[in-house]
Amino acid sequence: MSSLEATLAAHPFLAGLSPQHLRLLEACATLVSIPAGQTIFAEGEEARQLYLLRSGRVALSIHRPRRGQRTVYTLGEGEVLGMGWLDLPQHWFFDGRTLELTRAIALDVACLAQLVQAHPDLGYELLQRLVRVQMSKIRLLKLQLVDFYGN
Amino acid sequence: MATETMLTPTAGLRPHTSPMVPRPFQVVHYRRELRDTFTLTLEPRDGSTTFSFQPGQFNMLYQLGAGEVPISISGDPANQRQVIHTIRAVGNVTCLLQRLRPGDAIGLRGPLGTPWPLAELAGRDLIILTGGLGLAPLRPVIYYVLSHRPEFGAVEIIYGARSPQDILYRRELERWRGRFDLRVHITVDSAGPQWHGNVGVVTNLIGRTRVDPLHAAALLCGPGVMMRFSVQELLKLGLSPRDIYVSLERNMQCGLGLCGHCQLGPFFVCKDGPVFSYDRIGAWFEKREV
Repeated sequence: MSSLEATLAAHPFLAGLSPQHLRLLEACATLVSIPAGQTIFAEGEEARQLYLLRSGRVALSIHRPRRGQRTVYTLGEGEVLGMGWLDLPQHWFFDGRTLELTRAIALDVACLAQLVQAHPDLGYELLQRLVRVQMSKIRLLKLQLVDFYGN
Repeated sequence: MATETMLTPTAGLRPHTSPMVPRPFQVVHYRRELRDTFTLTLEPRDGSTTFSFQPGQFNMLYQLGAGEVPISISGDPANQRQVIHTIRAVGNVTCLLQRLRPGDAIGLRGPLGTPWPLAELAGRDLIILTGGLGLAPLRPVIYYVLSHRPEFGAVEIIYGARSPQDILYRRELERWRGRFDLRVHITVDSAGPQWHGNVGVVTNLIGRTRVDPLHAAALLCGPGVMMRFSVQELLKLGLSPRDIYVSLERNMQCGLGLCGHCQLGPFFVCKDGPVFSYDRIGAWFEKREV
């Protein structure tokens, strides 16, 4: 197993994926290290990467004219940042900025889209995981709307 | 012939006084914590020199001529000279309490209610999970744990607030976060760019704790909705319902289990609680129409 394949296997999003699938994914994956305070993407930009965060933290924020940035969510180790490979091109809905040095696996979504077309079984595995992640995020965001800490 | 009910004074009350009669105390320090939240430090004015309580207990604070409110004790249990309460000004009595300043008089009944079972939790990992003003009733737990640190395994504090401006006891949280024997996770619902911490709800941070679920206990205090969803996450993490403790808030008036205002199913929250293990209270916890 290559070191990249081992890194892919170690990420919670890909846990349990077969060695064949991991080897296929390796072709679309790059390890990235992003310094603290760097804007990774801006709202409206094309989302060309799906990030599997290995360490560090990323803030998702919305820019409000005359009122500045407002962070609405932060992601950390083990989480997934991005919308996937369906219905390309996708565009970022938020601004994304690292709060600390962040290491991630960047998966090229165009490459992923081709890969899952050619290997539907891998596509199904990844889609199941992505749906689970998105469902969990929707639940968390709903809780944020109900004034969780007010009496 | 009318029968007379004998009231048994709760620990901490002087035996010759009725538990319904407030003891005179005096405000010795006032501190504004947040826009609507303040802390009163009280000392007895009836000649007694000590006041002992266990983390999790509460007092009925009597604003002279206005009424009583149940307020958790939020000071250090090792400090038997002073009683500390952090209060949010939300109603008539608490708004009047907010006007008190050093030297003013106040009535106090207590300590009342059941404490967190800290002695039983020795040897366990602890998750102390709270949001908003819920940190106040858990602060005595944190003081206790820090002064008995070798008795516990990993200790994780998870705290959530609406915004960075709403973080209670901010300086203390920062100090605790600087310790090597404690992990402190803070999150807010939304924040400006100057905030470099977490944004999201506390339930999102439960999975980041490094406790052994088989040997861990969780202590929760905060709004009901926060505790309800946090309990679900803790159960998912593998904690047993008997190892999850919640501190409940109800309409407590007598504080002695006599008036029935705080009844929750078979329990009186003021007397049987406010601290309950989830295996006892789960069936009634956040139940609608109860």
